[in-house]
Amino acid sequence: MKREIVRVEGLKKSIHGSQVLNGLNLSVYEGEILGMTGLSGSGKSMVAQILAGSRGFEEGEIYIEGRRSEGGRKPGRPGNGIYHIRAVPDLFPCLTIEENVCLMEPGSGVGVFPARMQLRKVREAAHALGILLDTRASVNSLSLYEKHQVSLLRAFYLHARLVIVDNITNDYTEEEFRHLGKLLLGLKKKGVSILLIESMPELVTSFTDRLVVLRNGRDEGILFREEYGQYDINKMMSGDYHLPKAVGRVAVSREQEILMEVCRIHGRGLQGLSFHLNKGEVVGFTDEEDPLCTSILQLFLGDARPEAGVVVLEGEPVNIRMGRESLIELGFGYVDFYKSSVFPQLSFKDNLTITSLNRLTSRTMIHTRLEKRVVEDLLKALDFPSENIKRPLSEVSKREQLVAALYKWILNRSKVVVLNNVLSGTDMIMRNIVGQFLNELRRRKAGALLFSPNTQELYELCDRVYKVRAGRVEDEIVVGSGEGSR
Amino acid sequence: MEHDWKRETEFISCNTVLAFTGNAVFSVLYFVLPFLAGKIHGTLRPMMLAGIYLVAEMGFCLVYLQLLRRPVNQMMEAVKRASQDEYEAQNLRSQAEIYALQSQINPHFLYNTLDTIRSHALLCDARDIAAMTESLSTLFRYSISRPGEMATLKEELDNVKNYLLIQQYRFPDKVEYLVEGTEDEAILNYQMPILTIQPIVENAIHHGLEMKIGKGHIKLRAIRTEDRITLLVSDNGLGMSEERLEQLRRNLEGTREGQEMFSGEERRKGAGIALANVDRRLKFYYGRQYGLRIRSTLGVGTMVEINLPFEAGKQNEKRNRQG
Repeated sequence: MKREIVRVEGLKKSIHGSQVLNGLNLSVYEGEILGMTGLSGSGKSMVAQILAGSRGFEEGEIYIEGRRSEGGRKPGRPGNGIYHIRAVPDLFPCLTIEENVCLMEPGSGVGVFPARMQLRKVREAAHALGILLDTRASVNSLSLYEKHQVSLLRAFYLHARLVIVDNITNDYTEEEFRHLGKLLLGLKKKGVSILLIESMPELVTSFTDRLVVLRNGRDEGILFREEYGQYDINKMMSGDYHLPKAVGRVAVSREQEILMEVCRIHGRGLQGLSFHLNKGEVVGFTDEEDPLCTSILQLFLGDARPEAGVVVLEGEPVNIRMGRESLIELGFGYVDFYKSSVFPQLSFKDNLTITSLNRLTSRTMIHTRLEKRVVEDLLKALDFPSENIKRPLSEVSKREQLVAALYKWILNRSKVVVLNNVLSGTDMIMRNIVGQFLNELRRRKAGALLFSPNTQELYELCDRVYKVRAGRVEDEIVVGSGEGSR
Repeated sequence: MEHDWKRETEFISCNTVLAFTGNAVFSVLYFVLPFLAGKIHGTLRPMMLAGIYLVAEMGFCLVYLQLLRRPVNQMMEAVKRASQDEYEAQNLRSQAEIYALQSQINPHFLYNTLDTIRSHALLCDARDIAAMTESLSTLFRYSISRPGEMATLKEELDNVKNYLLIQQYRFPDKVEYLVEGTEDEAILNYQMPILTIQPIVENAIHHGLEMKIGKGHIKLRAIRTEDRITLLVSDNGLGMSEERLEQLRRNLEGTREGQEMFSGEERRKGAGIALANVDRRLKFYYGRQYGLRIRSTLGVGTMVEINLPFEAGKQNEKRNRQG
C-alpha cells in the first residue's frame, strides 16, 4: 500500500485572463521522486507555488496526507511539510549554514543564536545526507549548487514530507547535476518525497520513479520509470503542436576567413590566451575548474583589463578595455539569460531595434516605418505572429522574449555575438530557436562565442570547442555532426 | 453518503413552535393588556390597534417564512435529487436488463449451444476452437447473467483475460497484456461494479491497437492508498488528437455538447459511449469525485485512470453481505 502525501484534483488557476492550470490532477506518494516536465508555460512552476502555499487557486482540491488543505482559494499558509526549493536560494548570505538551517525551526533557540544541541543535529543531518560542507561556513562563500544543498538540508532538518525542487539545475555542471541526483536519492531513502520540476525531460528522467508531463495546464501523461522514452515524452509535451526536428548545424566550410584573432592575452586569470574565430563559426570554451570560463567571458564583456595581448576583429585591433557599450558599437553583441537581455516594458519591436537604431535611422527620414518593416519581415521569416509587435515584452511568451534577446543582434549586424549560458531556463522549442539563431549567424558569416557550464550543450551547438586550463588554451576540438573529434 | 436531515427538521419544528407561542403571547399582550388597563376608548382606537396588529402579524409572517426558506428549499432539492437518482438507478438496471433481452437469445440456450460447439470441437481435435468457445461462454456468463451486480477485482481481471484470449485468436501476437500491483489480497478482493475494466480494455484494442502497426501493449497497474484504489489502464496505441480528447472529456462530463460532438456513425460504433457508461456507473455508485480520467497523446498512446474509494471496513461488509 502506498501513502499519498499530496493529492491534487481538478486544479484551475488563471492569471490575467490566461488559463495557466486547467484541471490538473496529481498524486505524490511517500518516498518517491516524481518528475514533472513540460514546455515553457505549461504550468509547472505554478503547481509548485500553489502546493507551497505562495499562490492561491480558483477551483479544485488539494489534500495533504489525506486532509483537505484549507488554503483554498486564498494563498495558503506555507508549511504543512512542503518545502519549495527555487533556483534563487532563499538563504541569509550573512549567516552560516547552520544558522540558516536552524533559523526556520519553530521555537528555535534564543534570538538568532541556535542552541548547541540544534547545531549538533544540523551536523548530523548533513552527515546523514552526505553533505560535506562545513556547516560553520558563511552562506556568502558558497557556490549556487552548495546553496541549494543548504536549502535541501534545511528542508530535511525541518522534517519535510515533500520537497519541491523547481528548475534549479539551469546553471549546473554535469558533475553538480550528478551530485544533486545522489542527494535526492538520499532524501528519498529517508522517506522524503520529492517533486522534481525541469524544463528539459532528459534531466528529469535521470533518477525519478514516475514522470508527469504537463501540457496546456493539465497532466497529459504519466509514465513510470520503465516506460521512459524520449520520443514519447517530447510528443506528450508538445501534443498536436508539430515540433520541428532539432535544428542541425549548418555545414561550415573549413576554408574560412578569420573573423577575430585573440593573441597572448595576460591578466585577470589569463596566462597567454590565444585563439581565433572564423567567419560563420560558433566556438565554445570549457574549463574543468571554471565551467563558465569566467575570465574569458569577462574579457569580452569589457570587464577585464588585460595587461598584455591584442584582440583583432576583421583585421582591426580592438581596445577590449573600452567597456560593453563601446564594444557593441564595434560589432559585438551580448546575450545572457534571455530575461535579463530584454527590456520588459518596451514593445517587442522596440526591443528588437533598440541596438540598431543608429543604423536604421541614419540618412533616412522615415525611420519608424523602416523599423516596423524590418521587424515584420523578421517575424514573418521566424513564423511569429505579427500582432505581438507592439505588445510590451512582459506580456508575450517566453519564446518571443528569447527571439527578441537573440535577433536584435542580427538586426544590429553584429560581427561577434557572445552568448553566456543562453540555454538556461529554456525548453526544447526554445533550444531550437537558439540553434536557428546560430545558423543564421553562420549564414551571415558572423561568429559566436558560447559559454555554458554544460559541455554537452557546447558540443551540440559549437563548431569548435577550446579546452582551457590555467588561463590558456590547452586543446582544440573540432566538432563533427554532434560528436567531438580532433 | 445520505444527508442527515434531523438538524433541518428540528430547526423547522423548533422555529414553528416558537413562532406560534410567540405569536400567541404577543396577541394576548397586545389586546388584553390595554383592555385591562382601561385604555380603549371610542371606536377609532380599536381600529387603529387592529390595523397595527395586522401589520405586525404580516411582518412577523414574512420573517418566519424567510427563516424557513433555506432549510425548506434544501429539503425540496434533496427530494428532487433523490427522485432523479432513483430514476437513474432504475434506468441503469433497465439498461442492463434490456441489454440481456435485446440479444433475443435465452442465455441458457446460448451457454448450452456454446458448450455443444466446444464438445464437438474437442471431438474433432480442434483445440483452438474449443478454447475460444469456452472463453466466449465464460465471458457471456459473466456479463449477461449478472447485470448490475458487483464483482471482485480478481473476477474483473479474469474476465479481461478471457476477453483477450478471444482477441488473440483474431489478432495473433498483436496484444501483450501485463498486470502489476495486484499481489495484495485486499486489492484482489475489492468489490466493484461489474464490467468496469473490460470495456476499457476493449476500447484500447479497438481504437488504439487494431490499426497500429506492430505489437501493442496494454498494461493494468493497481495502486492502493489508504482511502482509494487507482487502476491505470494504459496502451501504446495510436492515441488521439487533442481535439478528440477534449470531445471525449466533455462526453464524460455529461454535457450535451460533448455527446452531440460524436457523429451518428461514431455513436453507432460505440465511440466514447463505453467509457461514458463506465464513468456514469462509477460516479453513481461512489460519487462525482470518483470515476474515469483520460490522458492521451497522438502517436504515443492512451491511459485511462479508474479511481475507486477504498474503505477496508466497508469492503468486508460488502463481502459478507454477498456471502
